[in-house]
Amino acid sequence: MKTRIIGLLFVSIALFGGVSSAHHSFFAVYDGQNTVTVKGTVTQFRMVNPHAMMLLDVTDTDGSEQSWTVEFDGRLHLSRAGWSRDTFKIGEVLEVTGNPAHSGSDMMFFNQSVDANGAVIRRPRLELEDSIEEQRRQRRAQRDAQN
Amino acid sequence: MTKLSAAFSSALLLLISINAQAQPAASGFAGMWSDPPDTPEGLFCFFNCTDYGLAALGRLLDDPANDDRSYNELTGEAKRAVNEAVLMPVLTEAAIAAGRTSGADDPGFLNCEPWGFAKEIFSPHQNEITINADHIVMHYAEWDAYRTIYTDGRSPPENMQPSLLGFSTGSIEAGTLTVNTTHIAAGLLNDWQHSDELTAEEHYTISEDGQILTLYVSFQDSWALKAPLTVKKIWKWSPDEEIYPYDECIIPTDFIESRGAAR
Repeated sequence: MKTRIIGLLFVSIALFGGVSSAHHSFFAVYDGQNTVTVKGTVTQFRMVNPHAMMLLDVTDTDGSEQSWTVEFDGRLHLSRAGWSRDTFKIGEVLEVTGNPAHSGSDMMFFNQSVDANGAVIRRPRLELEDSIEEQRRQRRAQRDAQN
Repeated sequence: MTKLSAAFSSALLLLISINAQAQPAASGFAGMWSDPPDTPEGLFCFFNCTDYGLAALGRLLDDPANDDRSYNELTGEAKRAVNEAVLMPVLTEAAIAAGRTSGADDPGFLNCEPWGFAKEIFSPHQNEITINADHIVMHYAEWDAYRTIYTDGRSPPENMQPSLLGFSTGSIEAGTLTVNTTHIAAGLLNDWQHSDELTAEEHYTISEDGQILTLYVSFQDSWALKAPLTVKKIWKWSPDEEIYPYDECIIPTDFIESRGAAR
């Protein structure tokens, strides 16, 4: 399987700097240090509990299709960030990047998507972590100013 | 709470920048509370944390040698320090032998089974508190769980069996809501197993500006713990949030297999 899909994957080490754990112990299932990117068509997007899920039909270079499962944060978490059942639409073509499953199966934990128009949707947690890093930069600036 | 932890809590509250809210929680404990502030310390306590861990994180964040290390790297180091210095020393041989539960084995995740007391009280997102004449209700968004805390001095029913959320009694005195819980069914405590001997004493307080609800909970369990284990959680006053029904729980493997995508 890995051989067949290798052409679709763009594995980048720690592209997102190590994603923090979701409350269902993300690290037990997914590799937080690596990411994969696939391009495909959304066949399902369910804002369900405990975590939202998406199915993505991905066509390999040899014409074969794989159904990738994309897992998201919990519905409560996504809803608080303004997501809804309509955030992704069936039939939409997306380039999706996420953390791959340790098992090597066609699963990932969502980091971000880019649609055909270039619109980017990021995991809310990553937006928060960006904000945290900005706060750290501000604290460093204050510390440096005091010294 | 020790003087050190109290002092640290005060320092933490100073560090936490609060987004402007419509109004403080003038009604005391009652109302809607939700995830901690979006700060390095708040995110560290997203599920639960300890004062030891917060102090460790603070030292790491303040050390210029760590300026180029990511926040996730630093929180990972702080959490490892907590495991080594706080958690592992109090776990019994039985608990260690039972092993740490992988998140992949979380019954809530795999079987859509609601969390037990020692996990539910730390559940992320909303916790709506209602104060009644003879009881308090805590409504957690995760699993849509309602927890009753009796404040009329009653005792647990005779022959009461352990249950998911146990039997809780409480009182509010001098600005602290104290809750004692017994009859908790065996379950998970920070990914470690606990027995049905688990008891908990919770202390809830509200910051002076009414914006932060802090919980210190001390667990005791002669099967799992050699000494009491004290853990902390923080919520932010969130009057604009609401709790939606926790429906449509789908076991991830069912979701995958039903679409023929299992590998």
